[in-house]
Amino acid sequence: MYVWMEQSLEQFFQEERLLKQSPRGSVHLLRHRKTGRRFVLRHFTGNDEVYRKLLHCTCRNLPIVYEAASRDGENLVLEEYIQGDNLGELLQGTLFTAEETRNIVTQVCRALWVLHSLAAVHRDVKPENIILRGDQTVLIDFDAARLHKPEHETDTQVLGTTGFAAPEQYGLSQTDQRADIYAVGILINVMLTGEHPSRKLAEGHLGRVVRRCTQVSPEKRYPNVLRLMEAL
Amino acid sequence: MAEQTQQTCPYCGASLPAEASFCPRCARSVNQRQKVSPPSIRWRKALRRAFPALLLILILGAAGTGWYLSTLPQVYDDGGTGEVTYTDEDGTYQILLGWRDTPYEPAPVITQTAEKDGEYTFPVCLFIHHKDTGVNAGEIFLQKVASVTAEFDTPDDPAAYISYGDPAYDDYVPDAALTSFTHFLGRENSARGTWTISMKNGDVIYLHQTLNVELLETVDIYPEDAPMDTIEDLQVLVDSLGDRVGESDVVNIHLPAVTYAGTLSITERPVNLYGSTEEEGRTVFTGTVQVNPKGISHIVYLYDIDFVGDGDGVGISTARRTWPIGCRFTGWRTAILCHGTGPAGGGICLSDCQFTENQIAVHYNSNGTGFFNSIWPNCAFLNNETGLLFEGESTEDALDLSGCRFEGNGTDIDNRNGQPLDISQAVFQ
Repeated sequence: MYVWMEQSLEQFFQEERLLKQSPRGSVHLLRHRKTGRRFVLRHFTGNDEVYRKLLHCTCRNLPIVYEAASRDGENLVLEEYIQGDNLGELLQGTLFTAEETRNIVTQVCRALWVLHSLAAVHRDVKPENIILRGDQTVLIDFDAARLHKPEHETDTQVLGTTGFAAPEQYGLSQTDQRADIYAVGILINVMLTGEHPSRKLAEGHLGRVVRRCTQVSPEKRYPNVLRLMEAL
Repeated sequence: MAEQTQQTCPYCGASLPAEASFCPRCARSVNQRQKVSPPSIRWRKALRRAFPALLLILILGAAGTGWYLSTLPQVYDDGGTGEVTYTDEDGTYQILLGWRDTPYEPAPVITQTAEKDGEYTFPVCLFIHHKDTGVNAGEIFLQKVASVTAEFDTPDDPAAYISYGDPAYDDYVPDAALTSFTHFLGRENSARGTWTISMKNGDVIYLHQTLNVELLETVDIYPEDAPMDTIEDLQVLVDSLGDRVGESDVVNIHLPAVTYAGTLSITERPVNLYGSTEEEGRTVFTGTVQVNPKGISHIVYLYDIDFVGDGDGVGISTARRTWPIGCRFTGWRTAILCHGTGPAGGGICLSDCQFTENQIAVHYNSNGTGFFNSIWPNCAFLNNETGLLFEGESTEDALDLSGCRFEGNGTDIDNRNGQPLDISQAVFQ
């Protein structure tokens, strides 16, 4: 399957550019030769089980995963290219209103609900992994994502983005869906204030939401994204 | 059968691996996908917001219903146990029907033995205690009671009565809130009684009690049935009764109109002696009749017998329950000596007896727990040196001397132990 996919990509796709390179792998933008449509090819080492689960479902707030193949720990994933504005780039020059923040973050929560319902944790929710496409928000990049296995006490690797990662992602305990809720809390605060809540907490109702999302103890956060969506 | 390893793209016909999800040739998905999205949070949110109000409505509704139900009159039925636990705003009470000596034990079923056509009375007590402490709560509880009635259903043998006396407080059982003296006729019988306690707040409490009457066999022995003309014959007869009758049987010996000289000892089993009242004369004993049979609950009845002494000696010496009725005592140092200890100790009752010219008519010197019948009605104490002499332990119950007549005695009553007496209906001349 992996070989077939490699050959097919070479035969039917053309690389436009390298989007990202990291020690774990690379992300390429491809163009389908026949249709001209753009796709994202992820080439990375590690676990691809979240991508495999997403092969069987679609959600308007997640990119469509078209194909996934692995060989000896190396993975190839072909997914939908989301063309839009990267939230991380937008935040370089502007902040968002409470209404805009509520609208965007609610859609991020919808994406997370799908992942969480697949027993997966994104573990890298941050502005750079959120694309705004018109009024649609899409959460991308599941490289750090992994399935939550309740029997594991701690994660074997520390993943995520410093500042957005929950305390338990630093090895205190295994991350579960409440780690994503922590990151969403940081995201809300950054969208409203441009700052980490430890430096400047958002005011008003959303500030209280941020405070609850970012409790050090996962037990004190919202228990799931549905409750967070209700709070929003 | 070989596993399928290939599939065909439904859009472009390209050959694809079986596990492929995507056709790279036409760039379309070839697998089944499920569209997933979180459930609507509107209802969840609305419900969550409304939940406190709904919960409050539910709690208020339940409380209101509970309050309303609590204000309705309640019916408490003992279910045949003779006991009800009743709770009101002041506390919880144990209410039961029981015996005088066991105020905390309900007696839902009572079995009484009786002689055929005998008339019997016994007390049934209503006890009321604070459930937690066991303290008597009868007085305070009765303040909340509108009425108490007690009634038996029609007995199995309707020809024989079983009835409650009106429940009322009685000194006989001071710890009981109410006592009913229950009456029944000696027949094989059974009836179910119900005490109905109607509270002022509308609650009704039902306590039930079944009375079973088991008939004792009565054996009557007449002069023609056995030799009894002499004291020796009579003693032989009395001593031989154990072999001739059942243990629970009531034995009545109907004596001829003879004079028995010498002592008669009733020490084996209880026996009732009936003196002659025929035209030929009365039965006379000139020696002592000793009453001390085995067993503690039977009563030895002595009917219509004359006890005639020679100025010395004891007419009847009793250590067990003895009840002379219609007897006459003359010329004794002590006409009746009652002695003994314990529950069976020397209880005595007198009815319609006459004591004439004795040094002491009745010497009551018992440490028994009480009279088995505290009424000695209609006796005459005439020209005795002492009519009644009380020694030993007095009883709590007052001895009722209704209808008794004291006349010409040196001392009518020598009450050395402070025995409570009711002489309000006695005559002293």
